[in-house]
Amino acid sequence: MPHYYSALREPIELELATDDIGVRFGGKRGPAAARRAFRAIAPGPRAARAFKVPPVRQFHRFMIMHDSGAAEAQVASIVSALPRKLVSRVERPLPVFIEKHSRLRLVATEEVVASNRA
Amino acid sequence: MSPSTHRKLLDGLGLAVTRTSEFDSQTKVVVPVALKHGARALDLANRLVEAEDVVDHAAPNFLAEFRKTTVNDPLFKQQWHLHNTGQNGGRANEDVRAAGAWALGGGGDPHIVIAIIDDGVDLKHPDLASNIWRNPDRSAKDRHGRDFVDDRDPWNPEPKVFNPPYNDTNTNDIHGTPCAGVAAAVGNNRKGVAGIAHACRILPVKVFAANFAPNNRLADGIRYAGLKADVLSCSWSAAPHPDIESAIRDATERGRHGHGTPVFVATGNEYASQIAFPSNHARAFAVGASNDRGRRSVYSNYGKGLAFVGPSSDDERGRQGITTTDVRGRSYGYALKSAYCDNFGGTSSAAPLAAGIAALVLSANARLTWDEVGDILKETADKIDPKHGAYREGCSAQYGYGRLNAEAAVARAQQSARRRRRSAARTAKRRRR
Repeated sequence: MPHYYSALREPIELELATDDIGVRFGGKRGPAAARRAFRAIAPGPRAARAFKVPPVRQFHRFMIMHDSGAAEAQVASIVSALPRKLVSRVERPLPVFIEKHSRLRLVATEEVVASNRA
Repeated sequence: MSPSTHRKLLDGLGLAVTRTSEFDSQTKVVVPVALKHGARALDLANRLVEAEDVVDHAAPNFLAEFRKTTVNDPLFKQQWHLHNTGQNGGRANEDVRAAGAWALGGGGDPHIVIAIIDDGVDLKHPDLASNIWRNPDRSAKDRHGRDFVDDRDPWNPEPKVFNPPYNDTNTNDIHGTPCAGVAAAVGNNRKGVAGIAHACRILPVKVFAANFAPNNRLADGIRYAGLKADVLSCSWSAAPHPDIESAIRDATERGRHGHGTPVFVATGNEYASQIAFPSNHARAFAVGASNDRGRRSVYSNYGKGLAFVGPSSDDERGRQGITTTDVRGRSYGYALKSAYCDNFGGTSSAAPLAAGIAALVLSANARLTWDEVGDILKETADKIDPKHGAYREGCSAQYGYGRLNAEAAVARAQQSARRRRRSAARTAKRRRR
């Protein structure tokens, strides 16, 4: 099972979120592209009420899409959802995990936070 | 451990430092130099953890989902959590004894600052504006707090993200403003509501955009708050992460010039018999919720590590919510067309209430350490619902040390301040002889 470690080096277990996929928009205009993509596919006020989990969320240059089987379909999910102009701005898909106990979603970007011993 | 040793380790794994925390020079964000196909942050982080003589902790910097857990002031009569007269079928006196606390020490000391670590605070709200912290350094960029998730506007910690449906906590920045109101809405201003520490100051620290944030930004938000504020309030839960653990430890070790900044965290609203991260941190005070009849709110997580409970809403039919400030704006917030809402609650409301009571305690005695503040709150809590609470040596899995009692806590803090002054006077007298 995928996992990472707490400050006390205890393993924290993850499951792959099969219905979620992260998207990273590359380049200097990545954040702007992500905002445009979000506005293009986010549901309107009335439709939004019908969703238990928002179908799309955006933070900075990242977007998280929620759709049945999104993790397996990956590229197909992204291409089918986005306007064509914005597909070319996608740098890579990112896996989304669910932490075992909290059931909260975690998008694995390429970054790691490390703290050195003094 | 020399910097070259760290560098060798990173080079060996094909990693490069992109930035260092401005609050902790040992904490760095690293990325793969060349992203190989299939390279995973998980694997790289775990390889770093293996080098335990060099690395203290390492984990992917996830983009993480967080769970936000909910006087002559005209709406004061609705604020049963401060003064319960039996409004709307509640039971009289099931409250935190705010009136008694205020009689002893007023609404707190304006030099005591409560950090609301959340999705922003409406800085111009008429019932919050004059209690918003102002940086004494007029040349500093963080005049009224800081936004750790908006690189375009980092010095403005106001709510910014609004997406339909506009009363949904997860898609909107509407959570921090009610929390701020519970802690320190201005009192005695003939407007709206009063916070429990209605004369103390609020430091808004924005760490979410709606309910997502990278782990390192939230951790740095905690570190910043620990340096600037006297009390921290966190009304959210998260997947465990070592950078957040480390930040909470830093706040209690380095805050308040070494006295430590107490950190209050909501236990969560998942109906669970264990409390959520980071309320289960050894140095955090985990705050659950009790209702207007003096019983644990049914949703409030409980169990090992619970410190105390504060009055809040309940899911049971007829139980009252919390009246507090709401984000202004016709279409946003818990009450879509008002600057106040009466349906706030959850352990989200209990945590800033606890933080506000801690602020009153520090107003009475500013020399207390972070754990002395916690001890006072625990020792003076009311042992409610003894039948179901099953208190053993003063502690209960359902209620921790009991329901917070602001009046008793302030009285105890004043007593300890008097004792300290007398002891100092005696010592000075002896030295003069």
